[in-house]
Amino acid sequence: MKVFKLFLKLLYAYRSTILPHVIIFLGIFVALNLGGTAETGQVSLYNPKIAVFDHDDSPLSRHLKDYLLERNTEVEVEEDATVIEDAIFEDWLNYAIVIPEGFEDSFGKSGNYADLITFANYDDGLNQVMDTQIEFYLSVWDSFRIAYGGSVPASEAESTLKQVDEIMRTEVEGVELVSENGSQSVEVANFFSFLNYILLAVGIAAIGRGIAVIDKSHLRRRDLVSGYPESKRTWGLFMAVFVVMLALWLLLTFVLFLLVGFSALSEPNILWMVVSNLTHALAVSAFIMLLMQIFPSENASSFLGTLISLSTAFATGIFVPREIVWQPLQTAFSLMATYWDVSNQLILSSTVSLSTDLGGVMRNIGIMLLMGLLFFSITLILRRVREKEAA
Amino acid sequence: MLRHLIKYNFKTYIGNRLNLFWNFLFPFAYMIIFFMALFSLSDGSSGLDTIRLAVVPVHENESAESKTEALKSFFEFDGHEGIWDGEALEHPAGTEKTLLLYTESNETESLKWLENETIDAMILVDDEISFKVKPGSSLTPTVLHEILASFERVNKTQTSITSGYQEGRFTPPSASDTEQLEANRFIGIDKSNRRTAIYSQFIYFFAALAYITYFPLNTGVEVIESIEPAQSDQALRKYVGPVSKTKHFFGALIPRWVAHLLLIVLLFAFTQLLNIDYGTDYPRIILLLFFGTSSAIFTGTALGALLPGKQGPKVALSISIPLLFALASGMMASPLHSLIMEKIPWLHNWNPLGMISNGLYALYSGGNLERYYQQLFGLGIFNLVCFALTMLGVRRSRYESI
Repeated sequence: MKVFKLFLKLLYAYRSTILPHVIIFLGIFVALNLGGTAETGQVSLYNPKIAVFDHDDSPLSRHLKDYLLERNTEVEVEEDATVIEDAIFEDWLNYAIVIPEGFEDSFGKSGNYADLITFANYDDGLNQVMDTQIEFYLSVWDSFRIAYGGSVPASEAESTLKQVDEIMRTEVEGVELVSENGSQSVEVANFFSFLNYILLAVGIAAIGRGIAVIDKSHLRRRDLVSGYPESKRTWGLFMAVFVVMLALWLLLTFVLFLLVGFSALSEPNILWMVVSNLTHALAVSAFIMLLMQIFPSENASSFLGTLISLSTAFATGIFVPREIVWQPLQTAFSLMATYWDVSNQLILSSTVSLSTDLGGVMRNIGIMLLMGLLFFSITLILRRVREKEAA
Repeated sequence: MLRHLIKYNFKTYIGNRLNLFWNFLFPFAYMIIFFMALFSLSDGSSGLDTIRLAVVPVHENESAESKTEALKSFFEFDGHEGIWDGEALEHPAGTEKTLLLYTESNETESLKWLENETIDAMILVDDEISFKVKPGSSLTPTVLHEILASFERVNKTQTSITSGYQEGRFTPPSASDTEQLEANRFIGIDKSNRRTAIYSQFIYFFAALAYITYFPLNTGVEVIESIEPAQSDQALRKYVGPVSKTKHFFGALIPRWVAHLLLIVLLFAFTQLLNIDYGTDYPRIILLLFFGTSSAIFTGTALGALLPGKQGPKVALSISIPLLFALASGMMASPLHSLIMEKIPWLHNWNPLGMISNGLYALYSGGNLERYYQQLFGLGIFNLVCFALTMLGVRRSRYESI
């Protein structure tokens, strides 16, 4: 118990390292979830943020503008090319359209293209959605214009536009497959993925630092001289590491369920997320102990804590969507338990049939357990080798 | 004496193994990992992935069959009927890419494919069309919804126009009119001269370079640690010597500052070796990075000088502050950056890391340099304020009892 207590005292002294990470983490999570989530079962369609500048103010331009604003979210932005491009880059605007004066008059009289100026991101899909909306609206109008022999009579313009609006309001129904996937799954999965980063960062930087201090040769010698056996010392240290990591995990998981509601625990996929993440916490504890055996220095803990946690977060898809991460890097980082837990969180957050996906989830949990055991065994072997060398 | 201190501190700083790892190796290692993770974005296009579909006629009758055929013809605008290659639905021409790849099947089989993620969606063709997708936040349902709604709208338009002809509202054009009408038939938006903004995912690269530029905050903390007797034994020893604290301060600051200015040039050169595109205005980029690194060092000295006590909390702050600023500037979780830009833009725009990131963006986007100089000016003011706070903190401490 002596080493166990000493370790906890040390960590209390390192609270200034632990607290900022935990606060940042909670801040990220709360901020990311401010937007809310769609109800389960309904297809969650993207709602592009757009700006429409209508200089024509003709019946056609007014109807087109109303149609676009009805289907998308209007964003207030200054009509300046640089400001619009900045807004698109910063992602608070997806698309802008400028309807110049004389647009309706020139429509169908000056070639195959409409006189419009559009601003969009690179080929990100959303611009294709917006292009389709505009092009279809104008195509339908063009069909009527052609049917009228080249131009819609002024007396018929309003009724024709109403007809175009009605046609354009035609929708198709889309549903998401729903069975065992609750509405909070994505939220919980995001939280657990970010929690993995925090456990790695805080674990290596603070807990790893504690291990490095406790394992300093003068402290070790003092304990041994006082008759405290090395094996007891080792197990006390291991127990302390696991207990602290579990306490940290429990605390943050408790905060998660305070935020999303404890009722989420009644959903089977969320329970599996908890099991997977807990297994990850144990595997990471073993990894930290191994790392500190290989690099037994306080300074290494800060350096490695930042480098390993950031790298893992990028490579396993915590900070960026996994589909854009280079595949060989993902393969390399599959040597970290985090990779397998993030995989599980992704699977479980979009599962349609838990019974179908459970095999993969359990396999990933098994891999994490084996990794934890392997790290733990190597740590024991290394400690034994060092003991013998010291003796 | 100052020259001696600078020379001595430079040698000890460069020769310090911890610094070598933390301040010199870390940024390189980080950039390698970062680039390896995200280099697929560096070509600036993500595009839309092919959407794999199963078209399912709900009833076996002529009407459903003809609607299914009409839908398949409609998909030909950017789609192709796929062939099964083992478990995967592939384009018959191999690597050719289309927006839609479809196959016709029954409901049970399609549902099984959808659950196994062999396909992305199944379309149920009935009097009204509907579709099913797997839960998730991808763009697929939105694009599919738009395509299918367009198909229905085309049908409705044709019905309306046909009935208009039948009612005598419209009259068929003459052959000469038809030619003119066809010449001016609307075929779409002219995208050839479209203004495309910089790919928003590039924010990762701007923020990552800004992060390593603003990373050496701890160096500033160390400068103060080395001269404040209350913070280290080394400083206590210096204090009893005849050299003034101000001289020791500059003696410790200048070599570290210069080392990091040199380092950031090397780091930028390294990003160029990795082919990360930050534009070609190298002198201005480097000037911005100099200001950025200086802001990190002066933030560190201000923290060191103003916060009492030992190093622990300051080291934690020197790790957390750049991470927090990087987070606000979009280095991690770009949706969070969008949210910050929407709700609290000052958190990104007024922090030094955000200013570096904004400056890099301003240079990359080209055109007016006013915005670049605004960021430079902002960083300059920030540096001056931090330096003034540092001097205030350093000069405030008196150790008369020593």
